[in-house]
Amino acid sequence: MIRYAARRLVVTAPILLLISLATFWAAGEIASPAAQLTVNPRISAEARQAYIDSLGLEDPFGARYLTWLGNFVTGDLGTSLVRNGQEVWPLVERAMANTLVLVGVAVAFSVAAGLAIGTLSAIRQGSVVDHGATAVSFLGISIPVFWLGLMLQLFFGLYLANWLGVGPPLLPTAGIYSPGQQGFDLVDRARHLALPVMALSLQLVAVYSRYMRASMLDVMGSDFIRTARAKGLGEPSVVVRHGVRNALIPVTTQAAVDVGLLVGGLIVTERVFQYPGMGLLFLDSLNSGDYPILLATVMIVSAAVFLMNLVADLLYAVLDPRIHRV
Amino acid sequence: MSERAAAAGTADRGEPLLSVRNLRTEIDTDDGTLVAVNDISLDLFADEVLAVVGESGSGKTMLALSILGLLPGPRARTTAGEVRLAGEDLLAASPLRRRRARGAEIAMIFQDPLTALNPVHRVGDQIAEMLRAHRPVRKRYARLRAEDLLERVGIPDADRRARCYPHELSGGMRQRVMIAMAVALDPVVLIADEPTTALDATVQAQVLEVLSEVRQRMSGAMMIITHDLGVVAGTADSVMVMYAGHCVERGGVHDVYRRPSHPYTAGLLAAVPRLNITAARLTPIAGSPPVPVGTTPGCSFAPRCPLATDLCEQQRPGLGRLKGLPVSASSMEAAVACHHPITEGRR
Repeated sequence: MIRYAARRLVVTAPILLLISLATFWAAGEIASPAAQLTVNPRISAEARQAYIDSLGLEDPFGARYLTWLGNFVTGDLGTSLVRNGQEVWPLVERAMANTLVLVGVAVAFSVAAGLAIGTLSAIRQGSVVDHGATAVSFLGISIPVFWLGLMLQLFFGLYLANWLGVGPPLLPTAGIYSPGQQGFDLVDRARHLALPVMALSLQLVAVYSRYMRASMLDVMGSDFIRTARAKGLGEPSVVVRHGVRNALIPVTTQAAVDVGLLVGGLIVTERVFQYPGMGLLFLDSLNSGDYPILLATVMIVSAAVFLMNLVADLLYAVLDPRIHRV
Repeated sequence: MSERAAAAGTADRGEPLLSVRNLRTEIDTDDGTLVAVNDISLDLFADEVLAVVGESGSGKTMLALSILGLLPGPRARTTAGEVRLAGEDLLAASPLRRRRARGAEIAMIFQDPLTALNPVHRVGDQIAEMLRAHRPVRKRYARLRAEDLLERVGIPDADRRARCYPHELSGGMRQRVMIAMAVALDPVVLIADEPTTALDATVQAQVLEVLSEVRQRMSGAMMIITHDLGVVAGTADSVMVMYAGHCVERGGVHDVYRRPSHPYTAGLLAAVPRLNITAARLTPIAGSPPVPVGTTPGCSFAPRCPLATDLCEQQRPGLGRLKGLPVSASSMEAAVACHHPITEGRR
């Protein structure tokens, strides 16, 4: 299995290189830091040229790329072009930590809820629970994240408190801490996390529960389920030890593919809730042409998606004994 | 085996271990209700081996699943009859009681061991699970017992094999695992549903041997479901022939073999290759079995039967004792459901 993982990593490297090349090229095309200087009347042409030369912006593309790549892989992510020369790495590090918390909580919740709902739907196929779950899933898949985020903000931040006649909003609608908060406070942090997690999770719960339902229906029709029943096992054992255990195998793979899709929702969610994570950092750097940060966020997120896929593949091999000896 | 049954047949055998009365199982299909098991009765005594024979779709497997209460989904259900296990009517028993009986008192071996075993659990654990489902034993003990059972069904290197996954074993090995699992708790009744059909011809004989060995060691009875008349001849004491959900003929295995009374049984036997008879070609039964949807007034076999008359089209023959048949050595009273039974010894 370790050899398999190593091989996968080796295959991943050229793909990441290709992504970096494309991103580097696109970033240079759309977000030249010198562009703003052109339209600023208070900056002379000489000063502008000096700035361009200092950054090496007119060097050949290949040279610029290789310089950046060399620095990047040796851990030098450079300094921000617009944030008063701040180093990129601490900014990215902080954003990454925040995003990991958000994604971690959202994925953990979604997997737990999605698998439970999907399993219940499958073993009660055609019941009220099943139809209800199906309806909510389609709603969840259809609602765009940005709209859901805004509605959650309105509902929990405004309407609900008004209806109940209580003063402050029930849940904060932006940021990760209340103004004036010093240091770590679990309750305050959790309250700020609640709405972004909800926004991010609805689609995931919907999708995971659908996968799980389909997979469970498939598995529960298997001969070995009949064998388990013929052994006189109780229905909970049949469902969990024999049903869910097998149904997880295809769901895991599918869920891994969806990690990439999560990134889009993440950017939107972080924007709507002003959540200071990788998505927000990416959007800010995109708007300000801060491409050391832009490149760093894109590369790290891409690598994370590949890593998650690898983890899922390894998990697949762990779940299915038929895989790793092939 | 048949001597043993014959000896037992003359003595008072007491109560049957398994007694099925007028069992009827229906399946809802898109074309209407299909009667998969139609008015089936049978008795199974200690040490007896009953073979249930018929073509695909004749209701053999549905009969077995009805007895175990394992009918698939809400579309299939048993609508009438009794299944008595040592006198106790299982159909009237609570779901919990039925569940407890499964595995421990009535065990089943399925047709295809590859799909019938869970692919993600080690075979030893799957056998141990059977023990732990019914007995308060420790995991370690159950594992050791599982290895004993694997040895008993002729798997060498049992401690190593117990840690294998089903896909790592050969077809014959897998079926031995199924057998080990089924006999783990020494059930009263063992049902084997086409136990050799999914296996290579060379392995079939070995598996049948294992099956008859374990059966001799257990005190209960066995019901073997097959379409392979070769299996029947070598293993069974009595035979029940099913066609379109009905029992068309039953009796001691040698009587039915030597003198089939129902034209369908005769047709089945004529379609079996035999080494001692030089026939240019085998005689197939013309046509294909009907789908028993709805009620036809006459005999289900009439459309394919060479002896059919108008009476056969109009009136269903009841299962009756045939005059002139020898008193069977088997527990099962010889009977046939036919208006024009074959009375001459054909073979």
